[in-house]
Amino acid sequence: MVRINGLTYNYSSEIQLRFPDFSLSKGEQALILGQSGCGKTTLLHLLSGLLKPDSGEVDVENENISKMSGARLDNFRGANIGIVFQTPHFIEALTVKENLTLAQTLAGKSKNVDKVKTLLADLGVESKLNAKLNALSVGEKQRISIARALVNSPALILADEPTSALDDKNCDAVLKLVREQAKKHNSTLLIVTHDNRLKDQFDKRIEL
Amino acid sequence: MNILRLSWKNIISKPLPSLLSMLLLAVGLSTAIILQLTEHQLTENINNTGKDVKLVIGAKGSRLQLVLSGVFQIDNPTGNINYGFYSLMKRNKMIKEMIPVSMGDSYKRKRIVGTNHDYIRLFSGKLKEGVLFEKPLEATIGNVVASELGLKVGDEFVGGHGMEEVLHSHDEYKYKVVGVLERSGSVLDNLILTPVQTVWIMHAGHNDDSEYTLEGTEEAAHDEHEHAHEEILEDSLPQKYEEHNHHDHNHHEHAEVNLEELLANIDPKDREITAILFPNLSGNAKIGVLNNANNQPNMMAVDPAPEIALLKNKLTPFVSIIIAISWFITIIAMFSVFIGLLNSLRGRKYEIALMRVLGASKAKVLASILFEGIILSVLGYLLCLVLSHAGMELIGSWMQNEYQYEFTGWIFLNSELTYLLVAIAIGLVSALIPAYKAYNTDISETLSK
Repeated sequence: MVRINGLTYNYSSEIQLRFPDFSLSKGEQALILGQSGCGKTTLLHLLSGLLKPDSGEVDVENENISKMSGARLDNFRGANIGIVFQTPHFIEALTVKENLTLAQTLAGKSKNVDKVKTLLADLGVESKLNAKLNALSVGEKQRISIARALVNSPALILADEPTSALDDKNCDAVLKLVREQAKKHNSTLLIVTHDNRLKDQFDKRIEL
Repeated sequence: MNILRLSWKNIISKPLPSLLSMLLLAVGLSTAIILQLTEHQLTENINNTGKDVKLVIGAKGSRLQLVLSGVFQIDNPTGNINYGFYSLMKRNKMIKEMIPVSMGDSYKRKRIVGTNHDYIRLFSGKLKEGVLFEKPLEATIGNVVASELGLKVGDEFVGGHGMEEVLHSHDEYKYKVVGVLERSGSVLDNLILTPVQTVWIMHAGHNDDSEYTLEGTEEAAHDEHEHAHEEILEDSLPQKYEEHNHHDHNHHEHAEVNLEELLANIDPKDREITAILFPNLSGNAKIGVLNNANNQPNMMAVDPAPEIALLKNKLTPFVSIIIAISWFITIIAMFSVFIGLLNSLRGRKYEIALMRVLGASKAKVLASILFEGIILSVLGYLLCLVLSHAGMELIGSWMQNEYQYEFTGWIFLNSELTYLLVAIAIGLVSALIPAYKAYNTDISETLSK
């Protein structure tokens, strides 16, 4: 389902990153742990095709995305990979609903407001459907960014430090939601973090 | 949520900078459009009014002034010529048509022109109601005069001497409206037409030569001054004024009865007109009239066409300056759109990266920024249409009094559509660099920050 093999990335001639091989089956949930600067975000970008590896390959849904390029890669990413960032970002000019339907149409899918509503309800922010983003708290924004990552029911959800900006209470809640939703959508979940609060909650851990 | 809608949302999320860009573009383009509208209507006016007058004869003076006053009713007359000359010319078999015009009086800033029916025929004027003037003091009025001053058939009014400022009113005789003309788009619309005899009757009481030499010469200024001076004196001494002018109420009441007699008593040398217009004159007949008039001591004959061409040439530098200004503003507008987009993109770098993460291709990102430029410029163009036509209407109402011709904002030229292309081109060009920057955004690097 998700598999990396002999993956390296050169930042410069001196700094070369080498990542351990691993694979995850469909619906599996795993943690990638590592201290700052060890290449966690780089790995996540390689997994989502935002960066090209210098060697090795990344397979998602049996497609070697390291070989894909251009609009095809963008389209594949939009449809199959949902990403939750450490700090949630949105198109500020749009409402919550518009941000989520934009994610649907940019991925080449048709607009489905019902699905957006269901997702927001699942994440406890259904009242924010027509809200502007600058009116939301960080916790609310993070939930909505999770909703956006899930809106196309992607095969793979990548989360980059999704909890490090949150307090313990929110951290637990957000983590619980991500895991529940990943399960519900039968998506493979890979969380990249240095947040030790998450460590004990995952059976599968990959250390960098 | 498609790309076009996203571009639109991005524009309205920053209303003030967007409005500024639109407004600058609109002002730049509408300056050019107003210029075109004015030029178009001015040309139309010149063609409608001037094309059929092949020669104009008047008192010696500025040639252009004679054309402007005699044909276009814009400037003041150059002076008077004797009606005897007109009568003499009338015997010439080679001249098919000639029209006397006599100016100098006005009513509420609308010029009163003494002439004959040929004058109305010359501009293809048609009666809307009533009849054409036949007897002295009868007036057939232009459409705009009727609507603006609220005059209708049967109304009476008192004219005054002078074109702009009424120097003194001829309140001993009243004009009577006998007909209203249809709108013709020519000089007729703004005129009050009456037989030339009316003008003689009006001036029979106080007929000194100075009345016809108006502003523009030192002599005239002097005369005007005296007139004004006289009037102040008269105003302060009302009794003396009436005695001085021998105008009592009896006279007024018996005006109609006395007209024929009065007319008969006017000395032939006081029967004057300000110009003679010659339509359909060419070849030898034209040369004959030219020579004849130019040999008279106080007369000249002028062909309007070259004078108008000369005037147009004189206006060319001003037109060029206005065109240059409009381009200048338009180029500033282009920079405004460019800087506005660049600025808003700087804050949206992460959003661009986000779009790519969500599946948007580089081309889609490029298109979304280009759309922003195009939407802004199309809106600027629409705003420019409103501005230019409302502006033209406003300027038109001001120019109407100045040029005796109704300028309107409610005409549309095909060339205005080409400005849409200009606007779109400006939007595209100014969005090109910002769009290219967005196109080349390094997503990974942007998201890592």
